[in-house]
Amino acid sequence: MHPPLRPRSVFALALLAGACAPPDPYEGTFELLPPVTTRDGLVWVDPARDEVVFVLPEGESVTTRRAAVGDEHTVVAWSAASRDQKSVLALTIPASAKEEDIDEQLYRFPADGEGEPVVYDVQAPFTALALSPDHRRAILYFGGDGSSEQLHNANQIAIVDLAGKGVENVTLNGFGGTLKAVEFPGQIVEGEETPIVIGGVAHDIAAFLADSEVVLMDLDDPALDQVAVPLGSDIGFSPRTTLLRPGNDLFVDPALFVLSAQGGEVGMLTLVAEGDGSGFTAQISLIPVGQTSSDFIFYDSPSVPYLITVDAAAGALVFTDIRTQGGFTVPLASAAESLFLRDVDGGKQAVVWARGGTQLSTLDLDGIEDSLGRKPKRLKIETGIDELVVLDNDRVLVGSGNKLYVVAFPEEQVTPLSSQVAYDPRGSALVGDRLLLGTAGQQWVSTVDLQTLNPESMLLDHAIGAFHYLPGPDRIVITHDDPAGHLTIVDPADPSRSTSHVHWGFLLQGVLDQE
Amino acid sequence: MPSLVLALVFAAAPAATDRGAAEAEAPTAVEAWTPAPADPPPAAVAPTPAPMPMPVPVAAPTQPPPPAVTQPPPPSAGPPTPPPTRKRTWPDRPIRWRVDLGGDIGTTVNFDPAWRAFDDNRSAFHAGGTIRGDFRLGDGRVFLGGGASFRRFASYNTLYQAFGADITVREPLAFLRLAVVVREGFDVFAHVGGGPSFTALSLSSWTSTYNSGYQQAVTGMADAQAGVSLYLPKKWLPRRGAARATAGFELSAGYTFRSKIKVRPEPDVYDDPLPTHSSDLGDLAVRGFVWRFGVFVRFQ
Repeated sequence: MHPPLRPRSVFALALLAGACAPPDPYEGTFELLPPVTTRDGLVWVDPARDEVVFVLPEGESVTTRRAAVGDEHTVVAWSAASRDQKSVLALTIPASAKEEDIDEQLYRFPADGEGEPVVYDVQAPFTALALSPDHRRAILYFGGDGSSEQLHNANQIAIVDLAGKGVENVTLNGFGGTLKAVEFPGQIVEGEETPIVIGGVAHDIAAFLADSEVVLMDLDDPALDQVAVPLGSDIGFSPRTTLLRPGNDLFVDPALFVLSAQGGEVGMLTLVAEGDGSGFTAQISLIPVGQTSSDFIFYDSPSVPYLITVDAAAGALVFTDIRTQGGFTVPLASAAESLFLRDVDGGKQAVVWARGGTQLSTLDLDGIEDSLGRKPKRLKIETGIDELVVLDNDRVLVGSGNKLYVVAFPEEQVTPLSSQVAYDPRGSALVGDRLLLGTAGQQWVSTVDLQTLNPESMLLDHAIGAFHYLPGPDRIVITHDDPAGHLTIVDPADPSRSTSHVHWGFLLQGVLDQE
Repeated sequence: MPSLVLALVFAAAPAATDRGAAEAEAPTAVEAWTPAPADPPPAAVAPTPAPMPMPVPVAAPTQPPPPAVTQPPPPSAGPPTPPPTRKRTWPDRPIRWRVDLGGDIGTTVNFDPAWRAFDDNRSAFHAGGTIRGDFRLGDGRVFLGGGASFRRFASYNTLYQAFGADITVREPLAFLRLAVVVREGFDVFAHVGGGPSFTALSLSSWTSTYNSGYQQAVTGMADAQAGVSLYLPKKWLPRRGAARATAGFELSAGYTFRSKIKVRPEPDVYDDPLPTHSSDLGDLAVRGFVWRFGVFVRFQ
């Protein structure tokens, strides 16, 4: 039997309770990973509290949801949105080197934060992520920065099925080169499966770029033999990017073109089926494309399958018939570094530009093989090109110091928009014919009606930290620098102060309710 | 002969003494209120002679003493004594009511973890003042009364090394008080009360910019405490049973309940701002065990 508590005992217990306080739940730091833009909102990862915070604008309000990721023995290394912006990926790794028997796991959360995440065991603290354009897969690998692990396999990868729960942990069978990048060269159309047919069999090919080699793998069947292609370390061929041309009547076999970081040759890997039908292999050839090649694209004329490369040293486009490796050059008489194709009058037009250059060059490709003397057209960018963003098929946005240029190709019109401070064209969104701009550090959201090219600006209450466009709720979200969470929501259809609203403190929502 | 008889009468008379010492054994003011049998009045009601003053020097007589046959001799040898003055006396005043003015300090031990957002420990130091009064119930030792007090406490903390949070609570309190005089000078008491609790809190964050939010809330508060008070009993005071004022201190402990505050500080904005909304940070319940030490002056 316990003796009854006396007042003196109660008083002593109360004092003791005050003195022996539990640990402060508000210790530690509050350093969240940068927000990830999804279709419906912004997602922050809070590594210290093992939480993912979903912030979803809904009308005049903001809904905040939290989901657990990992536990006290783990920490979130990085987070990313899937290409379709419908999922958020977060990799958990051991919180410290002293944590043992902790597996690295990739979490896939629905973008709205509702429902349980799918968890994949990926076996290694990967530092880089490649997402397939068809939205089906993610490949985790060690990027160029390697890992903080004491010992790690630089060619270890994990192939994650984003539509299901499967994960394949694989080591590349290469020639010793260290993996630098992962590409999905056959997937050209966003959101669509585009298998490469080799010998009548469809393959979903990923290219793994190593120091001086390329390893090809069929992601639909990772058990198939990997195709490792050495590209000549003796000639300094270092793969930079790849481009896969599907087979057609002009060139039956699919061909993978490999751009080198330096030199005047492009690697061409013709993909053919193995004799026993168990897989595919590659036939290697190097195509000379001038002094250098800084960008490339393939183009089929009615009769010739061309590889078009940009010779930055010569300032020219180089057309190469991939069948014969013969070709011709079209001088641009201006700086050239990058190119893209746009549709024009039932044909194609190449647009060539260079960072630091002062011109955009356009060259109609229709009948190019019969018009060797065709000269490109030029659109002058007076103050030079800092950044170029393709808005749609007919328009690009060029950033140049304190100016923005809206270039309309059909009208061959270049419209300068002046500002007091430099605009970053990457902080932009095109909604219909309305271009919305929000550059970090500024306090303005600007809109440009691309029909009339009439710009208008709306003053925010705080400087812009980052600019996001959410296609789901059709809202522009401007984040401001504040650890408590601070954003301004702008209606892209009517960007004005009367229709915009500010939310503050949402990252601390419910912070007092923790146990 | 008649002169001799008069001298003997003076010599046999009792000397003047301080009878206060004998009165100390009399009942205290509270105890005196207890009905006593119909005895003769206690010694306290007897006239109390004042102490004798120091003798005043008197010059020696310069003329010869009168003949013994015409003037009786003085009652004693030495200089003549001035007439005695009577010490002022007050009638005893039994304690029927008491009014206290006091100040106190104390601590509330808050058990809601949310409190730690505003303080780096669970204890909140508070200070305040009280006015109260009570009266005797019947002829016993129990006093019943009430009063009003005001207390204030404030705290500041840094959350996650990134946010500043501060809180200030001001609360007037009305209470009922029951006290039992165990012995005059030592009471045991309990009080229960309640009132509004006015809370002001703010949250601020700073990086490249500074933002803050502010909130005021009025919530309900209830307080129950029990303790002891020690004060100077009448018999220790100069006027003893007639003393009207005393002083003491008290120590009490109990529990203070405050209803929850839904914390949603409104952000500070500049002129003509965009419509700005804050977020619900959660509930804060500032409640817990409390102890208090106070000093008071009592009028009775």
